[in-house]
Amino acid sequence: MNRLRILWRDPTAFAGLLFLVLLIASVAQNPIIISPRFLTGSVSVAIPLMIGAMAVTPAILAGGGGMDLSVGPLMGFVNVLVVTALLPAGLGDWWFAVPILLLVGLVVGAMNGWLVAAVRLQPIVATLGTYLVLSGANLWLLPSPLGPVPAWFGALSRSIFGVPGPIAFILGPILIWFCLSRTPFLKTLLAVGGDDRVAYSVGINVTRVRVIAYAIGGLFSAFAGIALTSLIQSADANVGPPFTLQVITGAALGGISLAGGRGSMWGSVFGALTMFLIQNLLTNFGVSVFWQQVVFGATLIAALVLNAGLARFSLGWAGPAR
Amino acid sequence: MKKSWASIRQTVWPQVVALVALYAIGMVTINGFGSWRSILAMLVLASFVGIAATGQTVVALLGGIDLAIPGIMALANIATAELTGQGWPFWVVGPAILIVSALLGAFNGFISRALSINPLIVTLGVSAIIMGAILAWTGGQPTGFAPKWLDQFVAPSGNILGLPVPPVLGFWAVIAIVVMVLLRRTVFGKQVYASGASLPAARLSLVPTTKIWTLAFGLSGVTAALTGILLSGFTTQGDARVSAPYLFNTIASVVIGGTSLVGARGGYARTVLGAIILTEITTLLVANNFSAPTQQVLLGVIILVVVATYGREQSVSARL
Repeated sequence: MNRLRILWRDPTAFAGLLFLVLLIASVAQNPIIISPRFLTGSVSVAIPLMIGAMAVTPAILAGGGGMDLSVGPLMGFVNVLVVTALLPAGLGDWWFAVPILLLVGLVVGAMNGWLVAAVRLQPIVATLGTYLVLSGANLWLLPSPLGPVPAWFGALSRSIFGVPGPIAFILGPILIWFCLSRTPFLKTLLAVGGDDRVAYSVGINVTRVRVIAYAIGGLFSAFAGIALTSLIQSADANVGPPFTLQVITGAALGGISLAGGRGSMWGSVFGALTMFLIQNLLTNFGVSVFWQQVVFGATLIAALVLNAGLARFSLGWAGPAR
Repeated sequence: MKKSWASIRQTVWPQVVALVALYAIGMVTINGFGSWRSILAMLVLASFVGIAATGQTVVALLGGIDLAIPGIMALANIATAELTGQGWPFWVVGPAILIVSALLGAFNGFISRALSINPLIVTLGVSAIIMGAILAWTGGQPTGFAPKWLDQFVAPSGNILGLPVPPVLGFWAVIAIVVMVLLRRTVFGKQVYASGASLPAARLSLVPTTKIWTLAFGLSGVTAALTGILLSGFTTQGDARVSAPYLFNTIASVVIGGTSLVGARGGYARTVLGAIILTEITTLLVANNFSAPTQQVLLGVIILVVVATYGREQSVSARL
């Protein structure tokens, strides 16, 4: 009984539960969703969102109002670079392109981290700056959509021996985070996010931990950008920025605390999957795009109220104790 | 040296210097930048951002953030053009819009505080609901007609009782004075600063924190709706897309003005300066013929540089 209550209070478990309910509803509504052909298509649509939600997670966990608004434009930047920089320079092969793109993501992420932790700007403002710079740069480099991208981007968008190929893109971030969670880094990050003053007092280098967290976010954004390029098979400057609000929503549905220090990467993955399933269900029911947005916002608020809110609500004017 | 630098950051001198410097750059690089006409045009544009950022300022003083401003603005904008276009009198439509917007904003504040959910994500959800509903209503196309007198109210060539000042500027001045008095001279204002400084401490001092949050976000709904109504006069039609830039514009002018997003530091006078500085920057970029993408890049860089000069947080070691 006690365990059950702990499970109920655990935001990640809630995200998983919500995901399971929606998955059952989706399969019941139309069993074709689990046929191999359909699965590959839907997985390739869901993967950029899932990796994007993973990308925003370390910044939020790092606390101090941690947030990374630049995830969407950075995904777009990676997408645009493939056509405008790598192809003309003859670096379109995957053994050149992937490391270069990942490095670009890592560097941009580290710059975000530097602005937040060393220059000490408020994270929303710092990453709003990079949001504007990157989305402007995307439009400047590529005023109108252009294709095609190198053929290897398409190779992974198919089903390979019955396994959806796009899953390959998310293996990188999952492996990296799995390895990191075996090191002291994750505990250190959660300590910094929980209370940076306490973390500083026990000798943790708060600045360095935060820079690394944002750098990992940038690296994951680059993975998401590569997955996005594989999905749309072309380059488009306007495709990235709208992802920012979606990935934050995904992470929030996954039960992460926006105050920092609490939440998990796997919760964000489930949150993004949940978003995808909601969209998918609504489309199958023939709900228009506009009403989808309404249902979506309502689901988000309902999930938040059920998840975090009901555990410690206080309906009087005085406000909750914490 | 370090101490004097810290004390400068508490004043509005950096903002005033930025304001004057940008003005000087404009005078040198652009023909007619200093003319009465172009100053009025800039101030009118600044008034939209400034009025929309009123609520954002109060919410920022609480340590919150309001991302529902574009949604509520679009609602007010469309409803004004659509309903008065259908022949409803403005004295019914206007107050009705303000009441609905106040309630929507109040809902944001109440949910965020009473259930301790981060306002960023609550307002994001509410904004998605509002945006979806109005797009479903209008089909995403510009609709309706704004009342004629609103055109004159916001036109830079307008006048107040013969004085060559657009009425919207007088309106902004009244709002600014009311909000500054509200924040500095009333119990509500003191309670806003107290809640922003420390929620537990404010609660122990018998500050009704949930009530303060509800009122602050309600105010933000009202000022967002006012901007939406004014903008329908500026564009003469209702269009959901006009409100999109105000998501980040309001935050930028609050921060450029020097109000901390963490709470309890700053005030509305700073946001007025911030809105004017932001408008000066965008005007300079447009008038110097930078392409739209370049404008965006430069705006991003300028925001980072401006905030880095006076909007830096304290280091961890200084907060121990």
